[in-house]
Amino acid sequence: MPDLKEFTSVVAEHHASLRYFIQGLGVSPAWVDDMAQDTFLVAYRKWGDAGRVENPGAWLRTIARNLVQNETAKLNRRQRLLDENLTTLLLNAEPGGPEAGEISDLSTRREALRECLKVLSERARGVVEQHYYHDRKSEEIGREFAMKPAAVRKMLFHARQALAGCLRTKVKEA
Amino acid sequence: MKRMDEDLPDKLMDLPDELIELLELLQEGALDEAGRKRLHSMLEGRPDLLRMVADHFAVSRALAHCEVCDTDFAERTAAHVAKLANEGEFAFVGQVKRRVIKRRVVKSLAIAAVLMLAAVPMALKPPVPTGSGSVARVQVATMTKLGKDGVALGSTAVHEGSRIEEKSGLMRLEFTNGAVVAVEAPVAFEVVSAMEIVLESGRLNAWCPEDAHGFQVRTASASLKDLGTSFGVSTTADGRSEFVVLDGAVEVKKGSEKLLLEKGEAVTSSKKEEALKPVDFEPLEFKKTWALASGIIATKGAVVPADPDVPEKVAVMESDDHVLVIPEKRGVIFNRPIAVEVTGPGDLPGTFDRTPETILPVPEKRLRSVILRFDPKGTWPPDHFLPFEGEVTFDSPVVGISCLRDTLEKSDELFATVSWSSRFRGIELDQGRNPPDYVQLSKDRRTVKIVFFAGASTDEVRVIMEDN
Repeated sequence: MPDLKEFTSVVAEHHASLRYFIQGLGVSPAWVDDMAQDTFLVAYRKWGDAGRVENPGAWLRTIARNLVQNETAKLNRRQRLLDENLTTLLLNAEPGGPEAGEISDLSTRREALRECLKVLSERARGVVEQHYYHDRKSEEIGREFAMKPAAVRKMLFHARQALAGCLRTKVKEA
Repeated sequence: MKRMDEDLPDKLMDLPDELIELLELLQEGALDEAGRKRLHSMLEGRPDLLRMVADHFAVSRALAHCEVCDTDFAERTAAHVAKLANEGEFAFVGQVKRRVIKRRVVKSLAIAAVLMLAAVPMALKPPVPTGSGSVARVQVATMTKLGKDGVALGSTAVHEGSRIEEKSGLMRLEFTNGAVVAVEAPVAFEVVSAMEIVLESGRLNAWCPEDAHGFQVRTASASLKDLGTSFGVSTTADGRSEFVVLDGAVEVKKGSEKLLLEKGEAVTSSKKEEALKPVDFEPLEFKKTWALASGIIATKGAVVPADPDVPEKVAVMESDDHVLVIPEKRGVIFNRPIAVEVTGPGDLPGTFDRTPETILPVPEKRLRSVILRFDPKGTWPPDHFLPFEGEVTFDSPVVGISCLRDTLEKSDELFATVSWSSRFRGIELDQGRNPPDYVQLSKDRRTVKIVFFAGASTDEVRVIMEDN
């Protein structure tokens, strides 16, 4: 077992990017923290077996990937995934092994996201805020913004795509 | 300044609207099976699109957590993980051994059977955990199966992912977050986590303290999220479900439809019907589970639980034949002194007299109360007296009992769910030709026995106990 102080520092360094990685595999947002905790539990128990870990982030992502893989085989636990078939596709998309997503690397830099949000149109930013900060569905947002729900969903998609591009640029700059 | 959403790569512009719509519906939880298959077929063999999907999920997380400060996540997680890991894979076996020893001690001391609620682990078959994951599952609740007269048949640990199926009896689950769920068999359900139950068939009542707000019960046709409340859910294997709210409020969701239900309201759902259907509030079918979720483990003799209803109606229920056990407020912060006539094991009159004693506050504790009341429906002649004898056993130790008008009125402010203006409060310790009314608290502080010689007016006491 690792020293608690040492382990805490590993958790502190990697929990945010790990949780982004887990959600990127199609785990339901409500279950991401649980999966992250399970990942750290496995890591804690295997700490001694693993010897000196060169890249703790990659090791944690490997564990998380295996746990998510397990979820796709558990009939009664699939509610942890948005869609088990999609998660299977996402897992198989990079069979060579997990890598930290570029966006995941920005996980602790909230300032970057705030900067990127500023370059969205006012309307798109309003839709994003209603959806993510006020937990409102596309139909409710559509009523407020006089848009069809499908148009709201399309705007959300494009907004996220724009933010992903902006965040990637920030990664390169960093 | 150039806006980012005007600067999209050409490749993205070519994405079919259908794919975008399907992805968004999936994230909203509104994508049906046909849509899922279509989405799957559009993404299969397209690593570029799958990478884009992963990025979208990650950005969704970034947005959803943009305003959330969770700087203590690392400390909390590391400490919790270390605790779980140090329990080892055989921690449960160790707990069982400790409980067996405790049981022997309890038996030797001849303490009341209700203590078995916390002490006897062996009679129940442990719930069957689903899945075959490599990670040891976290214990999220303790389940006690109750036999006739509320005798505990045994308790067992419930881990996340456990599926439980029972053909008969009543079960009570106490979750680590303080939520209490009473289940009536025949029933089949899965404890997904400390915050979620999937009810496949059967009936349950739940009460959720602050720490458990957001607790969910899902059925095959709809789901319920607690917003601070007491509620009941019943469902059949084919998904016909009913949701009733006894106190507070819940959110019931079916597909993209969400309804806020407040106390005294009920809805039904089924797989065949698209929408939730408001129905009359008829909570009687939850009679057994509501009482159990309210902390009433067993009653005997003339003492019976009140029927389930909203607190304002429960408080004024009347009966010509029984002394009703009427739950009052829960989660009351114990931050002020409380005057009661009965402060511990013993009886009144007997161990205690009519002089009230003050119980000093313990601010970290929460309290709740029940009223034991005889209140006849009709008008009786002045000389018409009947004896009512019985007892009630609770899930928590009793702190004190208010028996006379003055202490009852003083504690109304803390515990009463309605206001009282009656001149006749409490019990009578001097009533002429009849013996005095009588109250007794058992040695384990969990069972209250009463003998009321009741006439046309009410007899009542307030039992104050620790909350979960």
